[in-house]
Formats: sequence, structure tokens, C-alpha cells
Amino acid sequence: MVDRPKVDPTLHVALLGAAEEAINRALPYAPQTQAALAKLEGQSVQIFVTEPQFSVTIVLGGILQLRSVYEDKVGASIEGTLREYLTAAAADDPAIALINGNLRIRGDSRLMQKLQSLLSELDIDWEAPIAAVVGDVAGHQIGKTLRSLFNWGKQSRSSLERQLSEFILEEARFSPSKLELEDFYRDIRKLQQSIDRTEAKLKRLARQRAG
Amino acid sequence: MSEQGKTHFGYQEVDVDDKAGLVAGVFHSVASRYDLMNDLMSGGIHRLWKRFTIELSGVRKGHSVLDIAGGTGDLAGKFADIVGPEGCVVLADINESMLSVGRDKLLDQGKVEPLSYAQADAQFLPFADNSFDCITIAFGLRNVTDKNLALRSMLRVLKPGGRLLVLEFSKPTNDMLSKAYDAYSFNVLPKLGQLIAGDSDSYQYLAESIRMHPDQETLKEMMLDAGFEQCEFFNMTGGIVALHRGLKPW
Repeated sequence: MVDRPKVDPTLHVALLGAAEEAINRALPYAPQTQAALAKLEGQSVQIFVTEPQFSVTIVLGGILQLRSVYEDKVGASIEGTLREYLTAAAADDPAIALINGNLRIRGDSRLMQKLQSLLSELDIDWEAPIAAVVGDVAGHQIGKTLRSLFNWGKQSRSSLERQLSEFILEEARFSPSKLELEDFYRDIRKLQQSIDRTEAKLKRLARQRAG
Repeated sequence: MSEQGKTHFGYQEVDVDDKAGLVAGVFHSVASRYDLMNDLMSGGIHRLWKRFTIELSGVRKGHSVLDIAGGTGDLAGKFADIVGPEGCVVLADINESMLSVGRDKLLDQGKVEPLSYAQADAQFLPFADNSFDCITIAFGLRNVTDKNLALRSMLRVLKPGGRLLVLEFSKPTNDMLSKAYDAYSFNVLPKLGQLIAGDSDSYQYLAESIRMHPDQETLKEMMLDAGFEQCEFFNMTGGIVALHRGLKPW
């Protein structure tokens, strides 16, 4: 797919170049992550922001490449508006964003998850190289957002399970909740007791009649 | 070319036969400080323009690449990393001084294997037909005497389906930017040239030659006329620079 950048290619390439440098500078300090990324050599993941239009293709390998234009087929892509990315990044529990489906993932979602979890293990100093291009204030904001996005993996792993159970119970109502079940069982117990009492009454009445 | 036998050398009109010698004079003069000047003149942005060129080149491991007017070897060095030892990168420049500065720089960086060097005229490329997967010419086409002849020569040596990328100064898309850019080019640039390279005339020529170079649409038409297809251009930094790309038909 030919990606037509809407931002001036100079700025686009400058930002990606700075980010690429930041990531590749952090990689040697996480040799296991680097080795795992090297195993994915040549695979690619595209991150698409639709409003405003911006995209980056991450070409995987022991050294990551961040490309503004990538014309080969990508292994996986994620798409959403900037607001959706920011909401997801800023959320107390970013897994909600995933579950609600605001961000659309296409292709090999396992590759996307793998990359996210690998990058979340890196301690990347985003601010310094980005501030060098866009200045301190914007650099700090962009750095903060990137840090949140790339820490998704860490946050979501711990909370995904809980969120998923909430989704199944509350949103999709595939299964009753624990409280509802307890109510249900309590009702059953009450019914059981009523039946037992009725049965006992009936027996007593039957005995009186016989007597 | 304005009339038979005449061409531009900056704002001057000179005999076609003289242009190559005059351009050679400029580059002999600036070769040793060319990298430094590029950084100073563009604020380092030329590196970003070149990075974008590499992204659009689609060059991969094992490809053969010709970098024409490759001068100080910025693109050729990056291509050498991408194509690897099984590929081939030829750094070509008509100017001996520029070529030797580029070769020394790449050797100093330890880059040897896929690289070779050729002192060659873009109008008469000394390579077999259908030799290269990709040809780049960065900030070189405007110095070529007959640009149409050079484009046809590049088409000949490209493999079918191969890409030509022309990175060149172009026409700013915004009037305000255009005025600021003019003021910079004609007032600041020659003074920087005098200060750094000890040669204001050469940088005056560079500024003039940029203004005489065909604009985005004209160059695209020239590429189509030469026989390239799927021609397109990407404006960068508000059109101060444009990257044109065309494919050789199958």
C-alpha cells in the first residue's frame, strides 16, 4: 500500500528519525528484547492515525526502522483517530479501549501484541531526541504520550483478565455476574426451603387427616 | 535550453560546450567543504530529504543501485548498508574532486564491499542497458547540461520496473516562504559560501541554478517525455525541495 503522508515529509521523517534513534539507543540495554525483535526480522507493523493523518511503519529486526512510507505488505496494522489513541493511552485501564474496539487491528494481531509487549519492556527516553526536533514543550507532551502508548502492554497484561471478565458479564451479558448468581442461588435456596416447608406442612396435614 | 548551442549557467547564458567545465569549476572549488556547507545551508535538513528518498526508493537486500552526482556519498553509504554484500552500489559523479571526497569518506566509514566508483557523465552513462534496480540523483540534475538527454540515459540503464528518484531544489508552494527563501539564497548563502568555503561566486551560482531549474510539474513532464511512467513528485519543506519518482516501463 502506498502511504501518502499528509504532513510535510520533512517533519514526518524528522519525527520518525528521532523516535527511531531513541528506540535503537535503548535496545542494546535490553538484549533479550533485541534478540526477540531480531527473530522477527523483516516483518512489519503499521500504525495509522486517521485524524490527523499520520502513519508509521515499524520494520522489525535487531535494529528497528521507522518508515514514513512503506510500499510492501505489512504483517499487521492498527488504525484509529488521534483522539482514540490518546484516550487509550491516557485511560486508567487501556484495555477498555481495546475491548470497546475503538482502535481497529487488521492482519496478524499476535504480531501486534508481541511488538507491543516487547517495546513495553524497553525504557525509552523519548523526550530528548524528539525535543531536539520540535522543542522542549512539544517534545515533553509527545514523549509522555509515546511512553503511555508503549507501556500499554505492561498495564494491559495485568488488567486485561479483569476487564475481559467485566466485559463478558456486564457489557455482552454472555454470562450472569457473581452477584446475580448468588441472588439466583439464594432464590433457589429460598424456593428449596419453601418447598421443604410446604412438603412438611402437607405431610403434617396428611397425618392429621389420617389420625 | 534557450536557443541552439546555448544553455544556462545560473542566470548567465553560456555555450553548451562550456557549461560542464564551468560547473566542474564550481564543484572543484567547494568539494572539500561540501558536507559542512550542506549542513550549514540547510540546517541539517538535507539529511531528512535524503532519508525520505531512501524510504521511497524501495531498495532491498541484493539490489543494484546507481547514485549519480553522488558527490559526498550520503545516499550511496546508506544504500550500501541496505543492499548488503550481495548487492551493488555505484557512486558516480562527473567531478573528480567530489568523487574522491565521497570515496574517502565512505572508506573512512569502513564501507567497502558493495561499493564501486565511476567518474561518469549523467548524459552518457557508461553502463549496460537494464543494469540497475534503482537510480538516484540528489541535487545533481540542475547542473547537467542537457537534462532530457540525462533522463533518457538513466532510463536506458534502469532495469524494467526500476525506479528513478530525482531529489532537487524546486519551487516553494507558498509565496511568503518563497520570498524568505529568495532573500536567504541571494543574501545569506553566498556570504556563508565566502565564510566557510572561501568562495561566494560558487554559492551565488548554486542559488541561481536552483531558480533556473524546472519546477515540479515541468520536471514531471520531462520524465514522462523521456519514457518514465507512474511519475509523481513529493514536495518537501514547503516545496523548497521536491522528490520526483518515475518507473521504467516493463
